[in-house]
Amino acid sequence: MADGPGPRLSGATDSADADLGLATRAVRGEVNAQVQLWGRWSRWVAAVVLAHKPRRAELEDLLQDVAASFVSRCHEVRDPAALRGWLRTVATNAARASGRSESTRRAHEPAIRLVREHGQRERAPTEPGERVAASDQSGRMLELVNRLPDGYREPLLLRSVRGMSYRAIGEVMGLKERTVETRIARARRMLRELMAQGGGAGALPGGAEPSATVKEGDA
Amino acid sequence: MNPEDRDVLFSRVIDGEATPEDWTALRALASDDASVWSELAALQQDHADLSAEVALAGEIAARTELPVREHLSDRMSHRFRVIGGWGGWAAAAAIVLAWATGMTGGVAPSGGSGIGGAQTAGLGPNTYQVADPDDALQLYLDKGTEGGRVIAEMPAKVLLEARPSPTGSGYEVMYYRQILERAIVPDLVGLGVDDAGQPTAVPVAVPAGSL
Repeated sequence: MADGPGPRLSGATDSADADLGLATRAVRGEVNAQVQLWGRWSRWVAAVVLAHKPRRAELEDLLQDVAASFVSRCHEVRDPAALRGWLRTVATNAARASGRSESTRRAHEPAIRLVREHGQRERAPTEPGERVAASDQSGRMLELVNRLPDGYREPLLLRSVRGMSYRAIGEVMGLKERTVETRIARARRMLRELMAQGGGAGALPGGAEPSATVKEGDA
Repeated sequence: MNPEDRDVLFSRVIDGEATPEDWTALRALASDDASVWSELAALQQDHADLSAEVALAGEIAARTELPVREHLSDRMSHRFRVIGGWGGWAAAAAIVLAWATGMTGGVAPSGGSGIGGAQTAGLGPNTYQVADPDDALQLYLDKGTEGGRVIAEMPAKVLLEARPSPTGSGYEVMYYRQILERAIVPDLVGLGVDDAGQPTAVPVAVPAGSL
């Protein structure tokens, strides 16, 4: 027991070869390959956006931005093997850019509120997109995940996407499999302790601060 | 086992990545402390809850289509602007016309050329010459029309992409052609989603004469 969990053989059966073949065609500008890749990757792209977007940003809008960048700029990627990491960067940047616009919007919040009060009443969400937006605000787990330090949120959310193995997450994030595994385990522990605290706005367990950043490559 | 190794062990179990050694370690841990199982159950539930919330986001992502058409349209506009810059609009128009006549000139009837290398399909009086893909397509159109399966080929071909030819001469165009077919089927089904959110075939009732 003192040795802890033993080495794990990767049982992940992600279709990296198929993805690479499609990526090779996609960066050449083949539309069909781009569409197929987007179909295979868009779910984890959503998880990346969720990990970095500000709370009030619209996921659907951000995904459309990312999709537009993917189709218009993926030919700029020279190494097809780097396409996945490139797309993750595009998604991260889109989410962070919306955070910057969110700061600007907050500066004008009083004016916006005034307009809203004099305008129509806000209606209940009915469409899937609206449900997710609402879930962003009321989904308890995502609320708590948002309080985890940078570097922990993304691997945890990616692992919540069905079919994403530690290896696949490592390829997306440019991390070693073992690092991914450790971060997910720590994130789960922190999340559990936040739950135990009732999700209040206290310090994160283990002394980690909500704003703490984990450098890529750190375990 | 230190706390970090313990967390990793639990995480592997939750993710279905535990090895036989991991399970042995977990049982040993639980034999000393039965609360391990409830802790594991709580972590598993957290994972399930989070996965459900992320799946909702994935649903949106799956519905987000790549703006391929808009992008291709932009690229074509840009390309024609470039062509126009080279030789004026007349040159641009000539190139489009060359492509159009080359692609919409239809398929030459089979049997006329009898070029060497042709293969024959069938035997006896109904012998067809299939010298190239155009012959093969024409054969399919003819036979399909005879049998009632093919109604017509749509006159417009849809351009997907155009770029300078790799040979340096002319342009390489990618397009798809549309052929209208008919078929008799016993049932109509559409793609729906079951209670678990999985894609599933759903019968579709169409009143007579509504299509």
